[in-house]
Amino acid sequence: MNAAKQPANLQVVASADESATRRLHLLMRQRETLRSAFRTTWDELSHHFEPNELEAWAAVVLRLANVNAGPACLIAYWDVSKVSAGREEIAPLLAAAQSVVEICRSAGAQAATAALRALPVAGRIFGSGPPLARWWRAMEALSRQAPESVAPVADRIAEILSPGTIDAFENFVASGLRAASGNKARRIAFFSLDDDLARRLITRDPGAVTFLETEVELKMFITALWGRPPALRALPVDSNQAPQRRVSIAGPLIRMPEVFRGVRGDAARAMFRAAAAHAQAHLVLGRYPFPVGTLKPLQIALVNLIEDARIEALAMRHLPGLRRLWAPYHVALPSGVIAAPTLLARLARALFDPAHADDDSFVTKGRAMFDIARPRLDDPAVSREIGMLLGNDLGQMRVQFNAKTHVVEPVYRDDGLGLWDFGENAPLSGDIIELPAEAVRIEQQDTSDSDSISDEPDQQQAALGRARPVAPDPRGTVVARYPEWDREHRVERPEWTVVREVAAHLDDPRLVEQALDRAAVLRNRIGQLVRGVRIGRRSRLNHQHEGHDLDLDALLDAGIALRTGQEPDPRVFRSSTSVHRDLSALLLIDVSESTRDQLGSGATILEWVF
Amino acid sequence: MAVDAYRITTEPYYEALGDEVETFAAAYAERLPVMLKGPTGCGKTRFVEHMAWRLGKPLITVAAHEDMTAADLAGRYLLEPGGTVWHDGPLTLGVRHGAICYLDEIVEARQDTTVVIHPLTDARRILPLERHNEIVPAHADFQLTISYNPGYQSAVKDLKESTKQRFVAIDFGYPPPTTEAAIIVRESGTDDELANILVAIAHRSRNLQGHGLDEGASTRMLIHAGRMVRAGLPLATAVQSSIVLPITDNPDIRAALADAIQACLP
Repeated sequence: MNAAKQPANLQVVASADESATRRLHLLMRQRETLRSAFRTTWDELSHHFEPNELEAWAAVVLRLANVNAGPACLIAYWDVSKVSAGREEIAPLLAAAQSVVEICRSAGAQAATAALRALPVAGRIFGSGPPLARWWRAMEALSRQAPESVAPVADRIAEILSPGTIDAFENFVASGLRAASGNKARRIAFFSLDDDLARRLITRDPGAVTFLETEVELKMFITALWGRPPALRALPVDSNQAPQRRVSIAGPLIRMPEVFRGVRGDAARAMFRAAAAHAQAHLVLGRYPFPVGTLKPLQIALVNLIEDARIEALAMRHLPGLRRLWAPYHVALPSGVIAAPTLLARLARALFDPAHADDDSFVTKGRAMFDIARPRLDDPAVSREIGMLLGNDLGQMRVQFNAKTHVVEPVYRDDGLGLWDFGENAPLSGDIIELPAEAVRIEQQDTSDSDSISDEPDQQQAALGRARPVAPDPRGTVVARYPEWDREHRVERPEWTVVREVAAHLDDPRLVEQALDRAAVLRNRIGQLVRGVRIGRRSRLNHQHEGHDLDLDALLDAGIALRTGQEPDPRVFRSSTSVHRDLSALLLIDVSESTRDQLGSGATILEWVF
Repeated sequence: MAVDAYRITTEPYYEALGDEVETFAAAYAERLPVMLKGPTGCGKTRFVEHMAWRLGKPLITVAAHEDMTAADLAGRYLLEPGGTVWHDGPLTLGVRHGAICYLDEIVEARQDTTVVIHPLTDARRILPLERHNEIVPAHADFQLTISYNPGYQSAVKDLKESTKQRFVAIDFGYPPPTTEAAIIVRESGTDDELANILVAIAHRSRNLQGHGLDEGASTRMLIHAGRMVRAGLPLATAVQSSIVLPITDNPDIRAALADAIQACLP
C-alpha cells in the first residue's frame, strides 16, 4: 500500500492481455452504467494499492460480475473498497468479495448487495480482524440455510449487532434458524426483528451466557463426572413473562434452557454446570420412568422433590464436591408465608443440607423420613413412599398448590416430568392430568408459532390442501422438523420430515461381527490402503546437504573417502520431513427408501453392501 | 563384565495386579520375547525393572523414537584416532553379554528398524550384523522385552503382524482403585485419604478418554500430584500443575476437567 502513488490511467494499463485488470477494464468499457463509477473507484484505489494488489482486486470484481452480482452490488463493493482503501490492507477487501460471491450464489444479487451495505456497520463494530471474518462466515451460512433472510438481517444490522460481540451475532443467527424450524415466513419475521424472541435476543444482557456458548465445555464436564456423554439439547427460548424454564429430561435427552435469565458470566456457566450435573445424575443413578398410577399432582411434585434429594445424596457420596456446585442455589429461608411453593423449597433445602435449621413441622417430618431412609437410598421406591406421605400431609394442611404454575426449586433442578410415564391410558381424573397437561401445554407453546405461521404464507398452497400434520409417533424423541417438497402432489409439506433421536436397539453384538465378517474383503482393503499411504509418518532423508542431525553412516563414508584420498561426499546430514497429513473419515449411510430397491439377486442394496 | 553397569541392585517397588510376574518369569525361563501392552504411566517400565531385579539380570533399556535406525540398535563403525572401530549398539550389547533388552514404545520406531529384532525373537536367537560381517548368537541369559501403548498410536502406527506374533503379551491397565491408592501412598508418601481423592480425580479424567483426551491421567501423574502436595503445595494447585495442565492444551477440556476435579474434592 502506498498513499503517495500517482493514479493509474485507464488508457495505459500495462498488463498482460490475460490479466484480470485488463479484462475488467475491457468489461467496464462496455458497461455504460458502470463505467464512470468504475473509473472513479479505480483511480481512488490506484492511490493506495500496488499493481499486484489491484490485479487481485480486479480478479474478485470479475468473479462478482461472473456470478451476476449486478450493477448495484458492484457499485456497493466499489463504495466499500473506496472507503477501506485509505485505512486497510487489501486482504480484508478481497475476503469480503469472496464472501459476497458466495452469498450471491446462494441468495442472489439483492442479498449480496444488502450484505455489502451492512459491512460498514459490521466493520465499525468488529474491525477488520477475525471477528469480521466470522461475521462474513455467519452471513454466508445464513445465505445457504435461509437465503431470504440475508437482506432482512443486513437491513437491521445495526440493531442486530447492538450486543457488540460476534458470539452474540452467531447465537442470534443460530437461534433464529432453530426457532423457525424451517418455516420461511417465521424466519423472515425473526430476522426482520418482527418477532418478540428476536428482539429479546438482541437486547439481551451482554453478560448473559447461552447454552450454545457453554455446550462443548458442559458436555465434557458431564462426561468427566459420570463417564457417560450426555445428550444435551437446547430448549427453544421462552418468553420473558414466563418463569425461568427448567431443564427438561426427555428419555435419554437433557434439554437445557437457552439461557438462565439474570445470571451472568461465570455465575451463568456455574448454573449450567449445576443443572446438567443434576440431570445427568438422574439418568446415571436413577431408574425411570416411574408409573404415575393414581398419584395427584401435589404428590407427583413431592415424589420429584424427594427423588431429586435422593439422587443428589447418592451423587455426593461419589463426588462430595458437587455439594459446592449445588449449594448456592438453595436459598429458601426458614420463614415466610406458609404456602406450597415455599414449603417445597424449604424442604428441598433441608434435605440437601442436613446442617440447615428449619423447625417447620412439615419440613422436620420430611427430613426425619428422609434420614430414616438414608441407609437404603439406592432404592428408588424411597422417593415414592416419602413423596406420597408428604403429599397427603400437605394436602391435609390445605395449603394451596397450583399444578399449572408450579415450578421446581431450586432453579438448577429439572422439571421432573421426564421421570414419569404418564402413559396413554392414564386415568382421566382432572387432578391427575393436571401435571401432564402442563407438560403438553409447554410443548404446544413451542410449536404453536410455527403452526400458525405455516398457514399464512402461501394461499395457493392452502388451496391445494395444507399438508397434513405429522401423526403422533411414539418412536423416539423429536429433535427437529423440516419441510419437504411432495413431488406427487406438488406441495411443500411443512414439518413433514421428522428427525427423531432413538436409543440404539440392543441386540446380539455377534450380528455386528457377522456383518463385518461378510465385508471382510472391503475391510481389509481399506486397512491396507490406509497403512499403505503411510499417513502422518515422517520420512527420514539420509545423505542430505543440510539437516538437523549428522548422518553417521554418511560421515563415516566421508571419513573413509578422506583417508583414502578421494573426494568426500558433502552430504553428511540427515533430516526428516512429513509430506502427508492425518486422515479423517466420515461414514454416511444412506437408508432412504430407494435403498430398499431389490437387485437382480433379490437382495436390497443395503443387504448387498453390508 | 560389559553389562554389569546395567544390573539393578535394589528392589524396584512394584504392586502386582494379576499374574504378570508369573507370566514374565515363565517367559524368561523359556527365553521367549515379551510384549507389554498398556496405557502410558501404568507401570510397564517399573514392571520390567522389577522383573530384572527379581531375575538378577542386567536390564538395558532403549527408548524407541522415529529417527532411530537399525544401526542405533545394533551398532556401527566409528572413527577413532587409531582407525575405524566397531561399536556395539545397546541391543548387540545385551545379545552378546546376556541382558534383558527392553525396547520402550517400540512402535515409535520405523518398521524397517524393528525388523532387526526378528531373528532374535524366533528359534534362531541370533543377531546378524551385516556391516560387521558377524552373526551374534544370543547369550543364554538374553531376553527381549518390548512395550507399546495400543491406544496412543494412530491406526497407521502399528506393529507389523510379523513382529507382533513373535511375542508373549502381558496386558496392563490402570490398577483397581484401592490398589492404585496404595501405590500412590507408597510412591508419594501421601495419606490414604488424599490418595483416594487422587484416584477419584484420575477416574474423572479417564472418563474423558476418547471424548477429548487421548488418555486419562496415569498412575504416574497421580504420584507426581501426591509428591507436590507432600512438598507443601495445596491440593488444587498440585492437581492443576500435575494433571490438568500437562494432559491437555484445549481450554474447554481444561475447564471441564478442572470443574470435574472440584467435584471430587471434599
